[in-house]
Amino acid sequence: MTTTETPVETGDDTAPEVSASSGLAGILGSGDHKVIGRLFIGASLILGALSAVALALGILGNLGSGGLFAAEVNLRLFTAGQIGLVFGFALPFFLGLAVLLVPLQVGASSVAFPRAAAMSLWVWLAGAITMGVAVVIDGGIGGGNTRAVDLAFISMVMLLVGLLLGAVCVATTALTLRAPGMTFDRVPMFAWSMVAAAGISVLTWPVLMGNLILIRVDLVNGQTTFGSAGGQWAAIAWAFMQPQIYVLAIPVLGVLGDLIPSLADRRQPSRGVILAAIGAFAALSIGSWSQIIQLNGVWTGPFFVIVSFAIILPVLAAAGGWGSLLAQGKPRPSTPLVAAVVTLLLLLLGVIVGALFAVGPLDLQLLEVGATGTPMAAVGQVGFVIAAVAAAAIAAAAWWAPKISGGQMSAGLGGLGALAALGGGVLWGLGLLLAGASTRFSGLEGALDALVVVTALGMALVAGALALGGLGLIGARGASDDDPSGTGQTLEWATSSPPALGNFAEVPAVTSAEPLSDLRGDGDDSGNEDS
Amino acid sequence: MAAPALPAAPLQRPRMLVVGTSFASVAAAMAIIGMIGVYLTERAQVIGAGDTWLPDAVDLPLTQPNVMLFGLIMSSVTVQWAVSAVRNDDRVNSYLALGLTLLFGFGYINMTAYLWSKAGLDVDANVQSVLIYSITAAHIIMAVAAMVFVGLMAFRALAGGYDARQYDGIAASALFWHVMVAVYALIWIAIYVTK
Repeated sequence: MTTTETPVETGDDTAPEVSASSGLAGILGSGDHKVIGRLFIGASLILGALSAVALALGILGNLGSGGLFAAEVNLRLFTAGQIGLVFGFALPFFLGLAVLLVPLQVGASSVAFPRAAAMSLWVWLAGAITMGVAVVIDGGIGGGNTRAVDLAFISMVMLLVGLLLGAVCVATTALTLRAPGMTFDRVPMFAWSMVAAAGISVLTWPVLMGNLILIRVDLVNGQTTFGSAGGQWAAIAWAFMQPQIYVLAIPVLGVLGDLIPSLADRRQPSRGVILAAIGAFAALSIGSWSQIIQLNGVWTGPFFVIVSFAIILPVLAAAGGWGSLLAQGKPRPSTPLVAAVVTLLLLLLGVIVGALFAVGPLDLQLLEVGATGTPMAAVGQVGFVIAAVAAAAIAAAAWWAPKISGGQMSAGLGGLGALAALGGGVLWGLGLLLAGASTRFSGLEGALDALVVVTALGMALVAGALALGGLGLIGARGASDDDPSGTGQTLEWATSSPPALGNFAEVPAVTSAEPLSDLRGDGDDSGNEDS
Repeated sequence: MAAPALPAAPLQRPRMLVVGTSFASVAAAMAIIGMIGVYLTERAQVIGAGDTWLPDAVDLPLTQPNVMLFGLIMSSVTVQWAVSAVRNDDRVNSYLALGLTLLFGFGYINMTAYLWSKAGLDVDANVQSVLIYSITAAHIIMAVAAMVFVGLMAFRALAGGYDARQYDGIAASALFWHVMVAVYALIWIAIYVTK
C-alpha cells in the first residue's frame, strides 16, 4: 500500500489553540472540539427520536382509513421525518462523534478550524429548529403556506451548510494534524471512514443543495416545475434512497472497524482489506446521478442494478474479517459488542434488500408511499440502514462513553437500545418491503393495513432506541480508568477520560496502527505491525 | 574566516488551510455542476420533444460571456502571479496582482448583471429562466466568496502576514479562485455556447 508521510507539526502554525470558559458562555462560545461534539451528539439523538415519531405518524397515512391526519399533513410528517432522520440524526451524530473523537484518534490537540467547527454546529442547529418551525406552520414539503415552505427549503440549505462545514473540519484534521509516525495506512478506521464520508459528502450533498436552490427560485416565482407542490419532493427524493442513503453508513463501518478488534483484543489482520472495503463502500454510495425526476427509468437501468449488487461485496468483505476476529478473540458479551453485531446484521439486511429493490421483475418499485412518488420498498430499505445507524450510534456511545461524557453507559439501557434498534429496523424494513411486494404477490394485498401498522411500530421502536441511547449517555458514570476496557488500540485511549483541554500531555510514539497495543506490549498476532 | 550561515530549515507545516479550501472548493463546484446537470437534462428532454430550448423572446448573445471568460482566465493568471510573488517575497507585485484579481472579479459581476438585463429572461415564465438565473446567480455567489477570500488574504498580506516561508492563505484563496473560474468555463459551454 502506498503510504503518505505526514508533515511533522512544528512551530506555532499547527493546531489552533482553544481557551476554556465555564457555564453557558463556555458552551455557547466554545471552540473546544469535545464540547462541540457533545452538543452535536445530544441534539442529534433528540432530533432523531422526534423525526422517527413524525415518520411513524406520517406513514400511518397509508392506512385504508387515511391515518390520523389529513393527506397533506401526512405528507409533511413523512417528508419531515425522512429529512430529520438523515440531516437531523444520522449525519450529525457521526459528525459530532468525529469532531469529538478524530482529533483524539490522530493525536491532535484540537480539531482543524475550531471556530468553523463551532459555526457548523450552530448553523446546523439553527437550520434544524427553523425546519421544525416551518413544518409546524404549514410549511415543509408540499405545505400550503408558501412562505413557510420557502423557510423549510432555506433551513434545509442551512442544515447542509452546517454539516458540510463540519465534515471539512474533520477531514482536514485527519489529513493534516496526524501525530508523527501516523502514516495514512495507520489511521484509525473511524477516522479513515470519516475522511471517506467527508469526501463523498462534498461530492454529493452540494448537488442536493443545487436542487434546493432550483426549488426555492421556482417556488417564489412561477412554480413551473421544481417548486410546484408535486415537484418538490420528487426533485430531492434521490437523497433519501439508495445508493445515496448508504453515505450514512460509511462511518458505521468505521465504528465497527475500531470496536471489533478492541473488543476481541486482537489486531486486525489484513487491515488494508478493511480500509479498502470502507473506501469501496463509500465510492459506491455516490447517488447524485440517480435523480429519478431527471432520468426516468434510472432504477431499472443497468448501472443502478450493478451498484445495488456491488455494494454488498465490501460489506461482506468487512463482515468476514470482523467475524473471524470475533471467532478468534471470543470477547465477553457487552453493550458495544451486542450493538455492533446488531449493526452488522441490519446493514447486511439493508444492502441485500437494496439489491432486491433493483430487481425489476419483483415489482418492488411500483407501490408508493402516499403522494410522494417514493416506493414503499425503498423506504423499507432505508429503515434497515437507519436502524443500523442507530445501533452503531449506541455501540459507539457505549464504547466511547468515557471520552464523550467521562463515565460508562449503563449496560441495561445500551443493550435495550440495541435490541430496540434491531426490532425497529426489522419491523420497519420488512413491513414496507412486504407492503411493496403486494403488487407482485396478491396474497399480501389484504394485509396492507397491518403491514403499515407494523412499520409504524418499527419506526417508534427506532425512536425508542435513540431515546435509550441518549438516556444512557446522560446517565453515564463511574469510569475510574482512562481506558476501562483495557483493550483500546487507538490513541484516544492514551489520554484522560474525559480528555482535558489540549487533549494530550504527551502523544505516544506511533509505530503501527495500534499504538496502544504496542504500549501494552501486546503481541502482534496478525503480522500487521510495521514498526 | 567565519563559516557562511546556513539557510533556515524550511518550516514543516500541515497546510491546513489549503486542504480545507480544497474540500470547500469541491463542494461549491459540485453545487453548480449539479445544477448544470439538471439544465442539460431538461434541455435534452425539450429538444428531444421537438421544441427549441430557449423561448423566442430570450436573447443570449455570446459577446459578453466571451469577455467574461477572457477576464476570468486573466484573473486566474493574476491570482497565480500573486502566489508566485509572495513565494519570492516580492510584496509590491503580490499587492498589484491581488488588486488586479479583484478588479477582474468586479468586472465579471458587472458584466453578468448587464447580461441579465439584456437577455429578456422572465423567471416567472418557464423552467429555462429558473435554471439560467439559478446557475448564473449561484456562480456570482461563488465569485463573491472568492473575492472576499482573496480580499481577506490581501489584507493579511498588507499587514505582513505572508512571506516566502508561509503563504498558505494566498495559495488557498488562489485555489478557490481557480476552481471558480473553471466552473464558469463549464457554464460558458453549457449555457452560453450550446444555448
